[in-house]
Amino acid sequence: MDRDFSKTARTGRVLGSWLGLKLLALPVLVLILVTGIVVTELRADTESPETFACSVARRWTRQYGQVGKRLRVLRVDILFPGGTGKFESGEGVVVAPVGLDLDGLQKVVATAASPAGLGIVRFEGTANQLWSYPGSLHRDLRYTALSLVRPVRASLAPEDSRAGAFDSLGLPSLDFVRSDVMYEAGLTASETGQNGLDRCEDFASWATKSAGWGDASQRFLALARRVGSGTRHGDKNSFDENICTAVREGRFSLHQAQVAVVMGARAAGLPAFALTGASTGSEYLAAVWTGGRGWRAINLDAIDAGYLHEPPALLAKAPVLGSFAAADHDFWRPTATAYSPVLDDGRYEVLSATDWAPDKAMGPPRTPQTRVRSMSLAEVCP
Amino acid sequence: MKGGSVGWLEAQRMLRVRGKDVVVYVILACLAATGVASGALASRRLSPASAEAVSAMLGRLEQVQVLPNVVLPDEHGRGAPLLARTGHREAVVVFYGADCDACQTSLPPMVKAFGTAGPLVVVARFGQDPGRVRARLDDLGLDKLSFVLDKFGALEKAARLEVLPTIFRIDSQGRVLERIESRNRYVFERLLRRFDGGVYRRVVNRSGDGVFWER
Repeated sequence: MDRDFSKTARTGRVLGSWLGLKLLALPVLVLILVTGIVVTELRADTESPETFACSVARRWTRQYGQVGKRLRVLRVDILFPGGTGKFESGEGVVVAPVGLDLDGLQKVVATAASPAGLGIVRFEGTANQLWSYPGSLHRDLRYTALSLVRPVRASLAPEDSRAGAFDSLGLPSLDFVRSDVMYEAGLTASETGQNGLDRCEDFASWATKSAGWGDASQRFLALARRVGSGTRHGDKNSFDENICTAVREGRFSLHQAQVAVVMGARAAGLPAFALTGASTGSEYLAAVWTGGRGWRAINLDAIDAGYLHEPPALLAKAPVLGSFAAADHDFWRPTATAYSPVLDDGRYEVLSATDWAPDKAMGPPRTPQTRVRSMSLAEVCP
Repeated sequence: MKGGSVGWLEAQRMLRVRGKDVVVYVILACLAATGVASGALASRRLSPASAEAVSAMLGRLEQVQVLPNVVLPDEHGRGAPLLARTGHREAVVVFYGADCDACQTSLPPMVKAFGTAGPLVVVARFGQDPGRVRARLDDLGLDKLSFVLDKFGALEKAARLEVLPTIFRIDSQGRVLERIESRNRYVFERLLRRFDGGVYRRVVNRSGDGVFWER
């Protein structure tokens, strides 16, 4: 400050002075910071999930024509909330099951993702969408996946075949169930070591006794009703694993009920799978192979309703026989999960797991969550 | 004000800004904007270190589509392409290591199912000593089983081999139909049921103490 400012002192103007420059610099810096924060909070792509869903639905409608009316769209929305939410910082990959291929039940026809995904990995029938998880800053990370699936009951009309639509789908017959699928559906807990049930005394005899007598449908339903009488409904995110205690005490969480029904059915000689439906309230399903009537499914959250007339679109099945390095709880709870690229005993470390999205106006809104819905192609973009 | 001291604020007000001062401030503002913008962009992308690790992770998670038809020498040094060894039909390629305990338990059931002259190709992992591999196979009673060497590691690199044993079921073109890393024997039994459209049949002998796979 050894410059001569006698001239300035005379004028006394702020404009053109150092004070003026610094006063101008302050709002500019604030503006830059605010712009940075706003830009960071915006989605990487400006396309909203609804716009994305609409554009994909239109494309699929054009592509599949009349056949599209008989197909279902399965929508998965994932949120890792930043800001004040429960957010795990770190970088890795988000893995989300988005649709199931299972002989006799469903076939995945096409998939789409926003933001653009890293790819689809199929494991034992379940299609998994992969995205990067750039969680270096606390900001909302949102992902949306759509799958076009063909349920077994969506038979194609003759006019569709004439149009060549059937060929364009490249779908195999859904009536044919391969022997290896039946083999897998029949493997018991003692053979696969699932959920520690192999160490559960008298599990097989409990299951056989609970199933009682009759055909496969009757026995499976009897077993499910026995488990359902002690099931704590409503808490779909509880994931305690002590199935043996649950069986002994006759009190089950929804997850425990699913494991007990499916592995119990297998112990009683009924081929069965656990399924996850893509609609609220159908996250815990179980299906049994009944022979002539194919697969029949029940909703373990609504056992009293009996067998489902038409199962919802399906997200995943369990148990799996092999080992997938990025499957939290081996597809028993196929919510989206962010994994860090660090291998620990053949599996990737979980960075941030999600829960099923709470019902409207219930539950904490700022926790990592997965929301699944299924709808017709026409309903995607009304 | 002459001869007297002035306060900082007053001094700032009286001091005139020169052109180069403004330029310096503009440059600083640009640098700040660039820093914020690059931070915003970086928040959407993985860091270089993570990107590399994630790339390796994807490589592991994604299915290998095709095994390359590389030349694989046998223990006597006779080279032949992979598909020539599979006889251009569906085959099972097993990566094996002499020091891998799980390999010693999983290989005999495979040989029992497929036989030594069948569609089974045992590949000794890159860097394995052929003499040692031969000795381990002999110890397992598999003296008639031949194996090939992944001499330059090209096959295991293309197969993204991570653990032993890893089993591939491939078609006549080398396309991967199934990849197994699990040691669960039921996974292998499922592979057998799938093999070549289900040509193998599980047979339990009359006394119930043995299980065989019949083609």
